[in-house]
Order: sequence, then structure tokens, then C-alpha cells
Amino acid sequence: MTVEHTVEPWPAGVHPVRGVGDAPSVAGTAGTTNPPGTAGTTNPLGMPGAADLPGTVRAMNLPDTVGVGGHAAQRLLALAAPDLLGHHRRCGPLPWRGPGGPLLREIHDAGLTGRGGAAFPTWQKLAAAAQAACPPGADRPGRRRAGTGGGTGRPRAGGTPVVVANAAEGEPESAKDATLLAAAPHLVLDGVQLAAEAVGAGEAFVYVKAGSAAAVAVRQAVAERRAAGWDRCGIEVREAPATFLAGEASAVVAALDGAAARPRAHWRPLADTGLHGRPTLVHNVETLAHLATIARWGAAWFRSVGTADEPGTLLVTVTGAVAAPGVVEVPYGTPLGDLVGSRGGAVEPVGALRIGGFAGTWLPGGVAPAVPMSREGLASWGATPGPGIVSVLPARACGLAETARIVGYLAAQNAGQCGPCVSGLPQLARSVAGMAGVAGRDTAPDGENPAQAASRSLRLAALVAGRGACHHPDGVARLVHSALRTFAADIRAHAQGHCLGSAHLT
Amino acid sequence: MPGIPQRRRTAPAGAPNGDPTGDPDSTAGGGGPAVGPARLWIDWTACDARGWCAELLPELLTRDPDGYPLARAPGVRTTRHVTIPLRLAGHARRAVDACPRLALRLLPDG
Repeated sequence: MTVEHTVEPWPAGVHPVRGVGDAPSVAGTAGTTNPPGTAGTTNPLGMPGAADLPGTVRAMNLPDTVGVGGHAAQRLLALAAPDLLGHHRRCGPLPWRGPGGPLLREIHDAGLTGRGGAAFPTWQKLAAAAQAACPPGADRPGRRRAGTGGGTGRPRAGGTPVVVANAAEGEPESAKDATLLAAAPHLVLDGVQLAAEAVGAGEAFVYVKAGSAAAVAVRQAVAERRAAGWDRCGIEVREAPATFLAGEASAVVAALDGAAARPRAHWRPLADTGLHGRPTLVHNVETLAHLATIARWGAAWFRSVGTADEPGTLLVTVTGAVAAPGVVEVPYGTPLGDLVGSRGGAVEPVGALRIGGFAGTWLPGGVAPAVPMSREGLASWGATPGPGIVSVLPARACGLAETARIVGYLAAQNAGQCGPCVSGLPQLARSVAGMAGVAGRDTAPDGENPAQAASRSLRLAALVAGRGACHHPDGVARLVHSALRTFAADIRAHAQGHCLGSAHLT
Repeated sequence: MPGIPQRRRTAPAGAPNGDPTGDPDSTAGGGGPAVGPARLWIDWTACDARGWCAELLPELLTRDPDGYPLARAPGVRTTRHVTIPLRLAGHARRAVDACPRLALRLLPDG
């Protein structure tokens, strides 16, 4: 595959569109954005707490989080408050809405989608859980335990719903969940309470990576709220093992159930029947934080940044060859170049970008800066924002070797449950490693050529995709497919006995 | 492979595509829709590559080199469900009922 390179490669340390130093100063003025406080004053619902915000939010800027110039949007990160008192000053009291309707409509109108990677409409999950808890015309609730007998695909009464805030963050490159939870634990916990109220949940969990600073912060926050009588639904903190799949929604349910944190085969949505057969909402912590802001300041405020189809902001972890790796909050549609620029820009010429983490998609470095960070903008590259990760691969590094390293890790992280994945991923990893080798240097004279290994990788990737209890094999296949597209010239070079790095586009 | 039913062309008694009694709760085995097209759902954590499903539904399923079921239609290789045309619903039901690992289930399409 050949790619026109109309965009200049990124010079080391400087973003082509804007100088490194611009981003923080522009973010400070925030002239084009609608900060939480100012929007609150125009909130037609007059939610409590709105008047508390003006001024305080503008002045607030976390040292390690910056807005992107021209796209400045500090929302969640601008509402950082380590303790309940600070949180109350910034955000006001919890805007209880009563069960069901009002919040669901607001979330629907806001167009909030899940921030854990799948981008599923949040209101649909909420509505499904609310309905499963109390299905219309259910005359004999609890007559039969969900999931034990024959199924008709119809939701059955499944008891009191459960809400889970998911901060397992098994993706090794991601830091946004931990950053958010450490900075604004009460905002996330407000989201838990409001979701619990909307679906009539009886208990809630925060599932957070074991031993992390976020775990300490959230435990403290929960204790504070308990002492203050802030919550209506009890919240329990549970720790997640540091495995790649620990945060997969059905693995979360398994872990809360006391089993190993491995995905479970489930043909009905967890919102119908999850933990102990009860309707279970597993939301990413960022989703819940957004939910808490929408409950306070409304759908119109939420939609005032981002794109029409993908409103609001998202947290992005920028990692790899950048000056200041870290988390940034941007509206959907922000060009990837601006995103990387907001973390100080690339520190050396860029070969490729990987969007969406380990199970993400490679984009050629030459075209990537102009591509918007949105599902729509990334769709033509077969990519999605996923859990909000942008990784910068320097041009001197070999994209095939990097892909082989990641596929090797992902193969080792399979849960050992589903045949096609258990046998397929290690085969695929060996094949990708063969493709990353250089003919003559890394291959035996009668061994497999890197080009042959590439065709085998393509075949094996197609064979594992979609054939598991969870989407783990699909993600690996996606990464391999995108590597074959983006690093096609590298595969040819490897087959001919030399390595280009990933700088073939310059 | 032993134990493969030989008379697969004989459709099950009763309604060819589902539940003869009309009570969805009485559906045995993998459950299924009363009417309409269906999807075949595979519990990959239970599947042990016994291969009965591919024997009973050769129109839709084949087996990969390890013996695990594989959708024949290229378009569905990357989807999670195999769509069952109405004419094969009876055979799909038999495959579901015959699976020694109880790894199959018929779901309503959509």
C-alpha cells in the first residue's frame, strides 16, 4: 500500500501546526470553551451548585494536564478536587434526579458514550438495566433465576441492579482512569450515585487497579462520603489484578463474584443479567464522571464542544516518543497533531502513530497529524479512539518489531479459556515475530521469509477474529491488520534483507 | 469420529424452526425463538472442538485446523454470530441439542 505524504514529517520537538509552548497558554485563557461554571449559570434546570463554579474552574489547572490550544476543553480535569469539601465547593451538592426518567433523558440528549473503548451509548445501558430490573408487565418477578434455563432472548426480571465503576485499566499504556480517579474521585463517585439512582441500584462497586494511587484516593473518598452521609447507595471498593483482561466487563463481574478476573461467555447483555444474575452496569470511571457533569449542567452544555455526532470531551493518554507523556482532555474531533502537540510534541521524527492502545490501530506518521480524534475521523483508517490512547512511534524504530512485541504480550495475556484464542494467538505471535525478522539476518536459509510470515499472519488474524467469549482476539487481529497496511514497505524491506525503521514515508 | 447422527436430513418433529408448544419457557437445551430467523451463539469457553455442529450444519459451519467451528460465509468470520436461514432452522436446532458440551444456543436474530 502506498500513502501520499502531503504533510511534512514532524520535526523533532516541534509540532508543525503550533509551537510547543503555545498549548498551555492558550489553554489558560480558554476563550473558545464553555467551562463548567459558566455553563452552569445558564442551566435552565437551575441545578444546585451551578453558582459555585465561575472563577474557580478557570483558575484551576492541574500541573500535568493541559488543554489543547484552539480546542481547549478542561472539564473533568478542571473539576479536580482531592477532598469532599473542595469537591462540594466546585460542584455543589449531588443533583439527585429521582429514579428513572429525568437523568436518562438528559444522558440520551447529551449523546454520552462509554469511554472504556467500545463507545456504547450510555443511556442504552442505563435503560436496559432499569427495564431488566422492572420489566413492563412482569407479573412474577424473581420467579426464575436469570440465566439458568432456556432463553428466549427476552429480558427477565433479575432483581436489584448493581452499578460498577470500572478503573481496572488493564491496558498497559493507559493512565487516564488512574489520573481521573486520583484527581477527581468524588466526581466519579457522584456519577456512581446518579447512575445507581437512575436504575434503582441497591449496591455499587468501584473496581480499581490494585495498589495504585487511584485505589488509595478512592478508598479515602468513599470513607469521607460515608462519614458525611453524602451517598444513598453504598459503595464498596474492590481491587483489580493487573492483567490485560481484568477490566473486560464480564471479567469485572467474575471478579466481583469472587472468581478469577477472566471474561465470561454471556449471550445476554450484563445490563440484563450480570453479577448474581442481577442487571449490572459496568461503566468506565470517565463515563461516570461525564454523567455527573451532565446531571449538573445539562445536555446542551455537554454538547457545546466536540462534534455533532460525538459530543463532549474525552481523556487521552499520550505516550511514546513525546516530550511530556501524560493525560490530556480534548473535545472529540481534535486533530491528532494537536493532541501530540499538547504533550510537548514529538521528540524525534515520527514514523507511525498507534491509536487505541495495544489492541489499537497503526496510522502512518505522515498523514496522522491531520486525522481527527473521533470515531468518524478515524473510521477510514479502520481505527477508533478506543480507550483514548495515542502512542507515538519514532521513525527510527521498526513498526514490525514493535507490533511483534505487542502481539507477543497480548497472546500471553489471553485468558486461557477459548480454543481459537488459546491456540491461535501464540501462533499469530510467532508468525508476526517472523515478519519482524530480517531475511538473512534473523531467518534460517530454508526458513520462512518475512513476506511469507506476513501472509500467514493475515490468515491467522482472520481466523481468530470474533471467535472468543470476549473481544480480545478481535483487538489483536485489528492491530495485525493495521500493521500489515501501515508497514507494508517494511515487510518488503525485511524480505529483501534490510530494515527501514518505520520511516519509509519520508 | 464416533457417534455422529447419520440421518441429519430428517428434520425434527414439530415446528421446523423452534418451539412446538408455544411456551418459550419450556424450550429445552439452548433455548430459541418461537418464530423467525435466528443466530447461532457459540460459548467459546465451553466449546471443545468435538465437531458435531459442523457435521450437522455443514451448510453454515466448517472446522478450523484445530477442529473448532468456523463460519463458512466469509462475511461472518469476523462477527460473533452465525445467522441461520429459516430453511436450516431445524438442523440448527439439532446441532444445538446435540452439542456434547452444551456450547450452542439459538438466539432470535437482531
